[in-house]
Amino acid sequence: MMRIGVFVCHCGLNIAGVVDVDKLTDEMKMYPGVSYATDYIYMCSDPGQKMLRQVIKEKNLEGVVVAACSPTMHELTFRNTVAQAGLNPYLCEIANIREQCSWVHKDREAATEKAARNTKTIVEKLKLNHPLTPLVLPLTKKALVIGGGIAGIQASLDIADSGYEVLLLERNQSIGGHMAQLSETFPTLDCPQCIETPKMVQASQHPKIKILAYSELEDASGYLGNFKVRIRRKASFVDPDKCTGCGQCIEKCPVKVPSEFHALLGQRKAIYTLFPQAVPNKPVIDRENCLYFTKARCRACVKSCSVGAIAFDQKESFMEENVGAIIIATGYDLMDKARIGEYGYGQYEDVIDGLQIERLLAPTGPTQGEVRRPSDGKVPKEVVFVQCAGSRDPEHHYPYCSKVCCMYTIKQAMLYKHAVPDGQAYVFYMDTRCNGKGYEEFLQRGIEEDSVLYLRGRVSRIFKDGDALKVWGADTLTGRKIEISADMVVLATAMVSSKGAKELAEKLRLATDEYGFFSEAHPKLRPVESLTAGYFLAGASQAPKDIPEAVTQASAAASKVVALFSKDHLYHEPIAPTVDEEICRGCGQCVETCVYEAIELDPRRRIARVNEVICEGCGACSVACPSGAVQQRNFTKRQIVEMVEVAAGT
Amino acid sequence: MAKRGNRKTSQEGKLNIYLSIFEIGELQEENGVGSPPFERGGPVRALKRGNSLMRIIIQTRDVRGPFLAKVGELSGQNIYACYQCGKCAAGCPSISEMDILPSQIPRLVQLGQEEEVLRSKTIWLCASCFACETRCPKGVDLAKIMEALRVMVLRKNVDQVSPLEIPRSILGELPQIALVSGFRKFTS
Amino acid sequence: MKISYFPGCTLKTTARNFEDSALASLKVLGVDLVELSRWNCCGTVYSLATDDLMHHLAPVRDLIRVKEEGASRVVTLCSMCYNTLKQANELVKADSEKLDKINQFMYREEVDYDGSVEVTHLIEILRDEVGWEALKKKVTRPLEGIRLAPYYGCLLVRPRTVALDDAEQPHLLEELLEALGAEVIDYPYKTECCGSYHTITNVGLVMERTYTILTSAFQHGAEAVVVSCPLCDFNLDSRQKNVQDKFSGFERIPVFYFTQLLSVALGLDVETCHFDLNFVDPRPLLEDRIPVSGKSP
Repeated sequence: MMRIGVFVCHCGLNIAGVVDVDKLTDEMKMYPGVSYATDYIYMCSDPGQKMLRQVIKEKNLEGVVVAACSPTMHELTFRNTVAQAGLNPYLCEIANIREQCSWVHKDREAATEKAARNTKTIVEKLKLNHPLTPLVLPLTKKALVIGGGIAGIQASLDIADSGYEVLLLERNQSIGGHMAQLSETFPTLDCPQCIETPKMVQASQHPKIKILAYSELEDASGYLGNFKVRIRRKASFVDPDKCTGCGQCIEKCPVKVPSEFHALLGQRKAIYTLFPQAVPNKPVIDRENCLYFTKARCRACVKSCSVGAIAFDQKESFMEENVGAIIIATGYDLMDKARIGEYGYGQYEDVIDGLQIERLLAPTGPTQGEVRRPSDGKVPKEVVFVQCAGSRDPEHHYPYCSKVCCMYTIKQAMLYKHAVPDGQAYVFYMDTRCNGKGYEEFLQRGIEEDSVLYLRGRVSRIFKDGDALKVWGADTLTGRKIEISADMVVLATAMVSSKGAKELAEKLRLATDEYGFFSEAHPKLRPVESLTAGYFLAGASQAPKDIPEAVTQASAAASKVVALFSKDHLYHEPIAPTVDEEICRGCGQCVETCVYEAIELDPRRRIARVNEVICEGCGACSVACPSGAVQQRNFTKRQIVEMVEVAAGT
Repeated sequence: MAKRGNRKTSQEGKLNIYLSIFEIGELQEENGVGSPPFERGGPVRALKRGNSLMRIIIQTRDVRGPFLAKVGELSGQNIYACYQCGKCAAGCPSISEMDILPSQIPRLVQLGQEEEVLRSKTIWLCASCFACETRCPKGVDLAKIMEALRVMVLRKNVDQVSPLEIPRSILGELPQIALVSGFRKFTS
Repeated sequence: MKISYFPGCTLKTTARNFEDSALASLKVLGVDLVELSRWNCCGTVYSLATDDLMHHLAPVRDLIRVKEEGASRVVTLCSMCYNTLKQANELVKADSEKLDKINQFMYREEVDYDGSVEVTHLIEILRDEVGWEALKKKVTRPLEGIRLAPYYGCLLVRPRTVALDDAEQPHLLEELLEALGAEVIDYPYKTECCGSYHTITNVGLVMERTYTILTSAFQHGAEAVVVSCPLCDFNLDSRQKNVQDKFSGFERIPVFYFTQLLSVALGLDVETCHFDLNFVDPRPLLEDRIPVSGKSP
């Protein structure tokens, strides 16, 4: 007979305020099978745990039940404590008399009786428990970072600097992400290429980082510490080993198409690099627009290449890698302005979005930093900025705030005024959300020094009237409708999750919210881990954020990975089921039931076999099993029945 | 103010109620919501509890009072959902002659300023065109709120237009649809 | 095909030009608009107060009339009737308690309303039952080169629950007019309110709206404006007299009901159009572009 000790926690007044803890303790003392029972005000505290260890030794306890808060809070705490006292941790169980009792009932007598029953059921379970040992798993100390924007780059550098290998996967031909498209960054007005390129180069030169540009994740399988990934290397039709980056091919190419990097405001060739400081700086051929691929003509690039680096017959290839952790740093995109009907459904050329104005203001942009409007190249003198275009709009678009638009709008307005000193910038806003370090000061500087006029009200309509763009907004502070004839309008469109993020999430079976942003394990306390073990989140892939936050989160995610890699082994909970081979008939019900694909039929013997590493211990298979061959460790059918009998009071 | 022919309250009677409201103050609460006739667009003489046009004192009974509850009930809208972004005002076709911005109407209701709202020209200039409702990012149907406020005045037997006062010549040229819809909106 | 038809009050009097041209042109297209044998004014505009059931009696009663004739669908021409009937219909379809009360109040009616009638607008019938291609084939007097500005006003496209088309960029009228051979003008005021019922007490407001809308259409190259509502028509057409008095330099511009243009394009006798009821005479424009077979009504 196991010598069982019961410890009733008061949890201050959380439990003791409703449950009569003295009565409960006395009752448990008398319960058959219980050798010792006591109570204490805060079991989870240091003295509480010290007392627990002491009592185990003094009373020679072989099993412990702590009647306290939910096991999700402190099961691990108490199991560690009993382990320190020499007891197998799986012989320590928690009876929930808080969330399931004192927090949901008011009647003292009834609650005490229920608490007693709760505790007794756990005592019954414990009586039939076996001591268990966690599984020891191997661990691949190599990380995969999906996304080569500033967050992905930062995370890669931090992991690599800690001594572990990193694969940095980027679907574009160069790392850098959206940050490379910006003109200047707030609040310092730094040149983003100047501050980002050192990190990009560092990443490319780092011995522990392998950049896989122009590549995508094809498939991933496995689990924490042991992932197997399949990566597709897209065909660039340029041999990266031969190419010297001289740029002659780009100069000679006759084809011009709208440039994605210039947010469709400028052009690029069919063979192109993304931007001058691209890493890697090897061009790729866009086969949909290349004359050779579409019409079997031209080949100007071949003729101009002195090292014969053009390779039209290059094929895409696949590679397989083992990694131990994966960081999702896929970034963001801006909502398509063509979705907003009252602003013209995207048909007005001079109504542009946040990334487009960045390209117009950028020195290496399509207009070399001169602010010229897309339709006719005129320098706009009246520019209207519209905040919250698609954000904070639960009725039609997105209910959330995109966080960065208030800051980038004032920055864009300031840069516009610096470029066009006799122009006027108007900003229609609802709030000015400038809560970072130096942000509020930046806003006031813009308003005071550059005379940006802030009008508090949302814009109802933008339409073309002859040559001008009419903007109908409001100024709720003076109580007026405001009409402006603008030369150009900039919409601060909502930040949405990156194109393809939802498909990636489905592929990896990662949780996202309804907007496609990857879900964190806990919004307050676990912001860089996903709900699936082994996957970590960094940057705007998790939620709209600015560059300092993305960098912070990236370093945080990296630290989680490094913490993981610092262990020698991984441990897995041993509460997987066992299969009684004498009873199992190979019906396969358990296999069909398991959502983790952790149980399968041995093809030769037709007996179920559990993959304990993948198994999450949910117990669904043991419920499905008609013969009772599958039984979960420490949650056997007999244990459940005993618990039910006590709970039902029979 | 439209004459009301054979309606019950006499001119004098009206005046008495008017005076008693503004001098005594408590009567407004006793009478409940949608108090006596206000001169449309006239100077606001809200002397309740020492208020003036630019300075108001608010308490729980103003901001959680029967007026707000009534407006919410009649319009079926959550008045608190409005965050005064002004988009409705920015697109309102009747705005030129209004005294209060359409977006300020729910705001004043939130602040319990019953008199100012029910006296405004704004609620009567609304053409029920639904442009506001279509574009509101919070899904607040301002057209319904405007109707609720109009109805609160109309149901106190204060019509805003009287058929008897429209000259025959004009009656002759107006299509029926104008009269039907006009009387629907401006009379009870 | 036959379809139940609800005219509404004004179509029988000042807007006879709307109704007659509609009935005549639809006959040619094989659609027989069968007027409800009994109907009452729909009581426009739809009452928005949540506790008001009184003002919903009129439209629901009309829907009962449709049921009494064994029909499940009714077509309207007037935007305001369309909007009122349809919003009332949506309300009682969603709220059975209110529908019960309304039916009980109208206990003298032989039929209870059950939400089963579909309210449609003529433009929908033209698009769905006739089809633009079939319509094009029947056009004998294409409106070649006339530049028309369609005017939707409010109630055809708002609120979204009953809208015929997208509230920001509708295009149904454009499709119709193009099928008739006209050139369609886009301008930014096609869904901006005309002032509606303010025409009885605040002519100044209506004048301002009319001036803005028509000037915009004119500046974008329109030669005429096309409407679907007798109140919009009154405000945009008849009120031009007031507008001209107030705003100097204002040029008159004719306003058509879309069915008048339908009639003309289908080669019908212009008598069906009753152009004498249009305030700004559109005949000179028509004569100039499409000889309307010499007959003058």
